[in-house]
Amino acid sequence: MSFPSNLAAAMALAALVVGTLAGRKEHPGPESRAPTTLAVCADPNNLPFSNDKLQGFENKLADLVGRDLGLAVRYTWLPQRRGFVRNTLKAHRCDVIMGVPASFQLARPTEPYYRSTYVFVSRTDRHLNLRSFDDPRLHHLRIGVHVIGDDYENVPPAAALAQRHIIRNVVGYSIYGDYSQPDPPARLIDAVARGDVDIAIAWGPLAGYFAQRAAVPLEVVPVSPQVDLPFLPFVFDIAMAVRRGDDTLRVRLDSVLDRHRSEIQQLLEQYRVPLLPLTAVQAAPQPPQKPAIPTHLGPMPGPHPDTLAEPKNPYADDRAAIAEGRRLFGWYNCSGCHGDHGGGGMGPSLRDSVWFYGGTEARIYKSIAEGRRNGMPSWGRLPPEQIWKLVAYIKSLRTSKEPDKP
Amino acid sequence: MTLIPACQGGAAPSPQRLAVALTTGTPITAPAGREWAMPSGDYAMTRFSSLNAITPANAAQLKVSSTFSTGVLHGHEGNPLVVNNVMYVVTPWPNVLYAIDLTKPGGAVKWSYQPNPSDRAVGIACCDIVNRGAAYDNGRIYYNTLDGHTVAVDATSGKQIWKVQVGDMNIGETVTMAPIVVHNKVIIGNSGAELGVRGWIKALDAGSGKELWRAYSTGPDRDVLIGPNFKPFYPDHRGTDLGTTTWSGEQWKLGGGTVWGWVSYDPDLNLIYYGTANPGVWNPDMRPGDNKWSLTIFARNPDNGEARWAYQMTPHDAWDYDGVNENILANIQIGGRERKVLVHPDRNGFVYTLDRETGEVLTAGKFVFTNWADSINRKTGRPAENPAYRTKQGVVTRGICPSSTGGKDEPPSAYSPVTGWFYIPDTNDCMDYEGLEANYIAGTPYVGASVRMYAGPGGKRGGLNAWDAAAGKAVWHIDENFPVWSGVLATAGGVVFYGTMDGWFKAVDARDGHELWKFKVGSGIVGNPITYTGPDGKQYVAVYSGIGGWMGAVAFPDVSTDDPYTGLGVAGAIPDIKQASAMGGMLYVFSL
Repeated sequence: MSFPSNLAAAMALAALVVGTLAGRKEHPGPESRAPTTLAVCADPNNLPFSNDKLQGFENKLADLVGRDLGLAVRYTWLPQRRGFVRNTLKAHRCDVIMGVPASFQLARPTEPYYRSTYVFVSRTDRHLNLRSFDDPRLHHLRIGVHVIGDDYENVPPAAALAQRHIIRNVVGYSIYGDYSQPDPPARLIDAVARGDVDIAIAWGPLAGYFAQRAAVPLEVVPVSPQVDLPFLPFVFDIAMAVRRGDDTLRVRLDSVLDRHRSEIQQLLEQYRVPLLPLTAVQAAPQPPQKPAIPTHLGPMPGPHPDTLAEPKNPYADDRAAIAEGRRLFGWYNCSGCHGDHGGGGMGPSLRDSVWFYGGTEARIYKSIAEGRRNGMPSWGRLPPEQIWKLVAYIKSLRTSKEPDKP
Repeated sequence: MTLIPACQGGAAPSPQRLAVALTTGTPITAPAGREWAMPSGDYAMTRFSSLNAITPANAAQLKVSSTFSTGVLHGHEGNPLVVNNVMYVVTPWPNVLYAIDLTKPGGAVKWSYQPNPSDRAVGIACCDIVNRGAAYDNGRIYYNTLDGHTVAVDATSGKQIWKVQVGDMNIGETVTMAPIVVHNKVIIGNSGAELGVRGWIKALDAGSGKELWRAYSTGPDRDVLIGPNFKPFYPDHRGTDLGTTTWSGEQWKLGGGTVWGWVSYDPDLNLIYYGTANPGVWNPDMRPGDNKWSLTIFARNPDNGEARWAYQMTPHDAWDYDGVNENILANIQIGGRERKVLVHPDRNGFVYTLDRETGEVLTAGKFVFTNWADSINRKTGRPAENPAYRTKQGVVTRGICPSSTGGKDEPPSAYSPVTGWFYIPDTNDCMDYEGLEANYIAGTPYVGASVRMYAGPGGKRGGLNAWDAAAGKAVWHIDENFPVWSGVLATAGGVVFYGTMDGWFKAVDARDGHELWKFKVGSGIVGNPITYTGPDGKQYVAVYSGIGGWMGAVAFPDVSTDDPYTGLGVAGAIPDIKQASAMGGMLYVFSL
């Protein structure tokens, strides 16, 4: 799978979390934009996230934010389908969406406030204990997944199954569903409880909430691996989002998230959201503007490497990015050669002061992207921002910013 | 062979007495004497020489007679060969073969052969860029190159006769082991279990390099060359396609079990013996099942490769206890009768004495501090595990002994038919181990474990163990500060030689381990000493100096010791090695 389709997969997730809708009529109604309100864009029928009875955890979270900032919470209701962002946030009818992927492109995300994962959902009495996409039983079990429209490959689990040639035994459940019924995406979980499918692969918060309320005991297990290579992730960080440029509100929301971290955690746990640890939260990363590979650098450091105009790491000193770089360092097996904490082994140490090919950010980037002699492979197929995060982690070694010190 | 009476007493046996004793023994193949033509001296892998000029009485007079720089730093595992007054030295990558004319004063390079292996191999080899040596047969030198080739070189002219690709670096395969030649077949195996390689052993036609047979260590019986003549001793080794059914899914395709250690051969039974490496991915939770045939000793017919029996030492490995260590063949008295045995000191801390005709465990005793298992059940062949030390994904299991490097790693032991004892270089380390989710990315490490090692009980990190295989216990032990990663040489003169990571080459009395002589070489020793007779009729002893290999790489300047997890955890065990040794690459030759 190439990188463009993993963007598509990420967007499909965005669709799942944020929801999409083609051609729905907007809920009419006056929109008060007084500065004393927190104007929330939300779906009126999408538990466990939100509904117009204010039963979702995003409703509770909005209340919490409103209380902290001394703002009254108001809603602009619209089913979360295609056009949702355009017709709500971008139309200035409301100012914040409570849950989007942290890499969301259509708006400006805050710091992520939780990380969850796709999960396997099965009846406990089946004792499937299935946890990996590579489990051979997936070739035979009846598997339910969400679909958007009629494309069976458009959410990450469906793509992961297709990649493994698991197609015929996959059953699609529309993420739109019948909107006259409560919480249409929950039909996928109902199907497991009824035995219509042996197993469902669903976004964690949805699955955790409805599995707990099902008539029979259901088992919810995070999928493994967390990322299919070259890059199809099943784990996502979730943030709030504001309009691009609305940095005043974004900064205020970040500070609320920071102040109420444990309350938010408790709230999510009450809703049975499968949570994975967020690695770091202090800094607010600015998404980089497509960093260019520094091709003008020669194959070896020149006589005056520091005098060249070299691109700077957009993630330099960004603690969240450094922590992510640490995760990627293990994920892409860098640690296998260079050591768990970069101390070396099969490959040279990255903790010492010796850089065979130059130790500036750009030259480390180049070593990763293009490979080096004596066996360093080229990782140019990784997204540039991931390479920069790896660079950020490597540059943090033996500094006060090093995460997970040995 | 039992102890001869002379060796049970306190008095030093005279050389004559030892020579007499030797002739009363029954070495199963001719031991090394004037020459050293195979990796371990003989087919039985005894690393025993019939030379007896150097004795406990005169060893203190040993001195350097010549040296030779290989031009390569990094780990110098393995040993040179000596045939027809020519010494053959294979260096670590780039795997240059030197022929040294021993008739010239101090030795002179007669020719050198450069196979020019790819530099990509440097980054793919798990455990330094080592080579464990060559085999001589019928006028030719055979050896492997790190980038996955086997070469045949004319021993007189240095001309390449053939060179064939046997491994694929794109999937992480390298080749480091020393071949043996049986019935005109060059027996080789692959390395790379840390990269999700599927292990194999192959026979190449000595004349052409053409592959004659190949036996995988995992997969269906037809790939493992298991057929009607396969008669393992233990019931749980019997069944169809255990190389796939003892794995989950298709994990066996990345299942490791590489063959990077030593191969021995019994001409009477016409069977070769070798062990397989760890199963693919160190995280045991990613591969439920016994994971056959990883960590297994195979007995095979060298003519067609078919398996005769197999014995898996460590089912469902959770510690990286490779089973590749040497299998020394001897005939010894057990329970009042002579048994044809195979003695295998394993990474997992036990020395196994097996009946080499059947694969039955006769004795299995701990030779280092070992807590992951209490004993080996002789009825089932399975270890009695201590569940507290079975590692898991997402849990740091602490205090496991021995560590992943094992009670010993690849450096081969020696067997003296004079004393009847096995001389085992050992490591006393323990570890903390956490299984981690791992991604398979072809050609990159597929490990999935975070490991930190440290010294075992007592703080001495290794030594030399004299082992009574019939009793299944140690006779004596020499403590060393660092793990002993050199092979051992035993001689009919009653002297045992070994080297240390901090660069001491030592001669000790075979009877009691009493130190007779030592010499400090330039760099730590991870190679294997040999002995031979020079053109002048004198007995010489040769060994490589050049620290490296998995553990020895901690001495390298581009390996940091402020992270104990470095080098798959070995840095934690010997962070002080940088003060004791630095990189080198030198052959040392000693004589009286």
